[in-house]
Amino acid sequence: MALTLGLLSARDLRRRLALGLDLRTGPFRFLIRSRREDVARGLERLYPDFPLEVDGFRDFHVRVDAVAGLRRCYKPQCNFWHDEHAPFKPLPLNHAFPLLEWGMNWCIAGYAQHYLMLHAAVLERRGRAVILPGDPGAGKSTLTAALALSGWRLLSDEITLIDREDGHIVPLARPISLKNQSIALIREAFPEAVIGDTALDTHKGSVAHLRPPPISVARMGEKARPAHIVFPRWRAEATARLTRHSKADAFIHAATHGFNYSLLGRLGFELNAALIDACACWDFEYSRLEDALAAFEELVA
Amino acid sequence: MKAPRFWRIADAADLAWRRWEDEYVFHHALANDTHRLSEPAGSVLTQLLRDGEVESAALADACGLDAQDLEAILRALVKIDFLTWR
Repeated sequence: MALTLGLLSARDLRRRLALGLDLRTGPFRFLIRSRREDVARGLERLYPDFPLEVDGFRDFHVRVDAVAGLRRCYKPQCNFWHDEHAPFKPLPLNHAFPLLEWGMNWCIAGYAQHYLMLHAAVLERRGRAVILPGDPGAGKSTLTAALALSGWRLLSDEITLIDREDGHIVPLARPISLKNQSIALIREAFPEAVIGDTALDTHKGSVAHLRPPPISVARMGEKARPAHIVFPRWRAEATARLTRHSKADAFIHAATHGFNYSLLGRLGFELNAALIDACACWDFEYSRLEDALAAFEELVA
Repeated sequence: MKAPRFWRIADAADLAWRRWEDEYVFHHALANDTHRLSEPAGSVLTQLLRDGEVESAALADACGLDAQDLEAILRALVKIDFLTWR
């Protein structure tokens, strides 16, 4: 049986984390180091189903710890290191866990150039993947969380990875980042949801992460066929409604919001075009989560 | 009387394209630029990709455009280095 993070005792997890915890998420291996209790607690609550590896090649060596020096005493801060290089400015100490999550996203977005990477959530049901691009504030993460907690397989909340060989979507199955009102909204709608500590006053407001469903993690080796691209938009009092979205516009949106579309040159164009060819494209306006879930169910019926 | 102009795809352009409904998306490999184009502009480019060099009046006929509309499209496509003429 594979060793998962949840099988470690609290003490063993913290001991391993101090030395380097070798965690797999989708196709990537992260060696994570931290002496922070909130980081250990976050991993314990949100990553219990993720497999741990023992030896071999790791894609990313990352660390989140308190910043040394005077900052230990005055307004203490933490930072993220990748290969012992700190790419970000330090953040308040109580933002350590979200900083780890953002840092892990940064690693993938910056280095996984062997995929076409779109800034979008993606979920799958009945063998058909639905990609949710969504600008900030569009309600993408809230909708992603609601779908993942309603039987949809979560492939990713932030980064859609397109395999350049077959155009299929490669899962990451990482925790979903909830912000501001959506934290309470998801807690209320799904009391069984496991949500980590809330980090207040981050640059995105209040942030808390949702544990991905165990089945999504167990199936993170299975790619999914893209079928729909849905641009969600939450609007008060709106009736849930799917309307056709121009494919050419969907192409440009995906390219503009892609992490590496330009970098891949002609290959990026061909992969993006194949994705648009394979998908029906929709605008989706909604106000009530239950109506949104019903509309998505119809989409893959 | 103006001498006829002959239009062709710019040598270095190396264009790839897709058409969805009445819109086109073109990729210019050298510039690594992507452009979303209207149906008339897309039809001018696909016509030139198919036929090589084409004279203005013949191009207008083939694409079903009047001379003024064609002129505006050609000017815009030259500006983004898709076309050249002699």
